[in-house]
Amino acid sequence: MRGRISEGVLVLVLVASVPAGSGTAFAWDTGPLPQSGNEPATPVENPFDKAREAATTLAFTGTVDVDWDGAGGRHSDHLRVQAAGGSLEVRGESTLMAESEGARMVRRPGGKWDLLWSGPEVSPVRPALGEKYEVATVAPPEPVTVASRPTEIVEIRQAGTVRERLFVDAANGLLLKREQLDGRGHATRVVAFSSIDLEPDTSPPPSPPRLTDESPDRLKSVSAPAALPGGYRRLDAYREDDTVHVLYSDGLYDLSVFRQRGALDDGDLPASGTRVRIGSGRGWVYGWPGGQVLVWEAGHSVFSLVSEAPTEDLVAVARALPTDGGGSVVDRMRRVCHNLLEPLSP
Amino acid sequence: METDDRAPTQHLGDTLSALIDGELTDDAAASARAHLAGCRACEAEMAAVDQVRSWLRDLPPVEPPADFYRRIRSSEPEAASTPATPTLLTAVPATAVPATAVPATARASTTATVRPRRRSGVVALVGCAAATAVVLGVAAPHDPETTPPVGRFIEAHATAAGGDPVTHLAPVVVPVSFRR
Repeated sequence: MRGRISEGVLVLVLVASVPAGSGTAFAWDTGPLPQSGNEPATPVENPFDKAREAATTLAFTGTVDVDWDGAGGRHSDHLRVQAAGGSLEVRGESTLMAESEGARMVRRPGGKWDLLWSGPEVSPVRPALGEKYEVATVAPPEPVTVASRPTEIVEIRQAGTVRERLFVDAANGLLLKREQLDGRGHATRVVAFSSIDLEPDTSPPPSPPRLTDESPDRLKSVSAPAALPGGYRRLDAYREDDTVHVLYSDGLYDLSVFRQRGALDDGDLPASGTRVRIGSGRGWVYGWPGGQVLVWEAGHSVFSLVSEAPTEDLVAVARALPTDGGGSVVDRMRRVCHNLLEPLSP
Repeated sequence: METDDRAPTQHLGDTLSALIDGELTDDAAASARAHLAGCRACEAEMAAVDQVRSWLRDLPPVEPPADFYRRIRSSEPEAASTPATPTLLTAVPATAVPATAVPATARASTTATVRPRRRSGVVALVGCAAATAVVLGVAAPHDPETTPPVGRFIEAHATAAGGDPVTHLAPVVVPVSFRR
C-alpha cells in the first residue's frame, strides 16, 4: 500500500510538472483509449442524468458484461437487460432486479419478489459533480464503438487522475460502458453492453404477481454527521429493523453507512477481506462487483460502509465517523476478557 | 554476571533446605553433598543459610500474649484439638529479623528460604487476575454479537443510490457470497 501511495504521489508530481499539451507522453495510463488526459476540459452536463433519462424512456434489450477485481483475481459475469415503457430489468443467473416508476424490486432465486425501494418521498439533492471532480469529453483519434454503437467518451477526473471513463451512446445518451479506474489507470471495474438492440419488438416486463414490501422507513431526523471527509454530504436516512442507513454522496459516488447496535461477530465474516486499521480497532474490506464494503466495530455499534468509491475514501470516512463511547479502558478490558474466555464457553 | 566454572548447570535450590533439615534420603543426601563439594555457589548458599539459622537461633524467645492460645482454640477448634508447640521459625515471621542484623551475604542468600512464599504470592495474584477476567468477561454486561448482512446492505445501497440504473443494478444481480 505504501508503495502504491508513493507511486501515486510520484505520478501526480510528474503530471503536475509536465507542460500542457504533452499529456500523450503518459500513455501508461492505460485503458482501451488513446490518452488525452491533459487536454483542456470541456464542461459538460452530468452524464449520469442524461443516461438515467435514456434508460427509463428508451426501449432496448441487450447483454451486459460485468468485470471486476475481487478476491482471487479478475471476475466476470454476463447479464441480460430489457427496458420498455419506463420499466427496466436486469436478469442474472438466478436473480432479477427491476425498476419501474422509481420503485426497485428483486426476484429472489426461489421466485419470491421483494420491494426494496418504493421510490423517494423527497428526491435527495446530490452535490454537483463539478464540486469535487472535473468532467471532460475526450476526443479519441478514432471513433470508439461499444456494442457496435458509436460513443462519446467522458472522463471524470479528480486532481488530474481519471476516476471514471464513460462511453455514452452518441445518439441517445444511454450509458453503454462504465470503467472505474485506480490511480494507475487500471480498470478495476467495468460494466459494458456487449450487445444491444434499440428497436426491439418487446413489451414492458410484466409486473410481479406478489410483492413483499421490504423497503426501509425514511427517517425524519437522524444523529449522523451532515458531512464526511472527501466531500460526502448527507442525503437521507432510513431504518430497517434495528439498522440505521444513512446515505451520503460526493456527486459521483453514493456512500451508505449502516449502523447496528452490538459487537461485531467477525467469526462469520468471509476470510477474503483485507484488514485495515480504524482508530484503535480493525476493519475488513470486501470487494463486490459494484464496489467495496468496509465492516468494523466502534463503540457499542457495528458499522458497514457500502460504496462504489475507492477503498481510500471508505477508510477515511470510517476513521472520521464519531462513535458512541465504548472505547474506555474498562470497555476494552471487558472485550479482551470476553475474547479470552470465549473459547472456553460451550 | 559471575560464573562458576566448577558448578554444574543445576544448583541444589530447595534441596539445600531439605538437606539441612535432614529430609533427604541417604542417596539424595550423598548426591547433594557431592554437588556441594564441587559447586562454589551452592557452598556459599549453604553457609549463608546456616548463618541465618544461627542468627535466628540466637534471637531471644518471644512470649505470646496471654490469651494467644485461647484465641486460637476458640477460632480454630480443629487446630486447637491437636495443640502444637510453636517453634521459633514458625512463630516469628522472617520480617521480624532486623535487616541490619543480617550480613549482606546472608540477606542475598535468603531467597532460597523465601521462594515458596513468593510463589504463593504469585499464585494469589494470578488467581485474582483470573477472577477479575471471569467477572469482566462473563458477569459484566456486554453487547450482543452481530454479523452484518452484507448482501442485504449492498442491495439497500444499490437501490437507494442514484445515477444510471443499468450500471447500478447490474452488479447487484451478480451472485456473490459474503458468508464464511
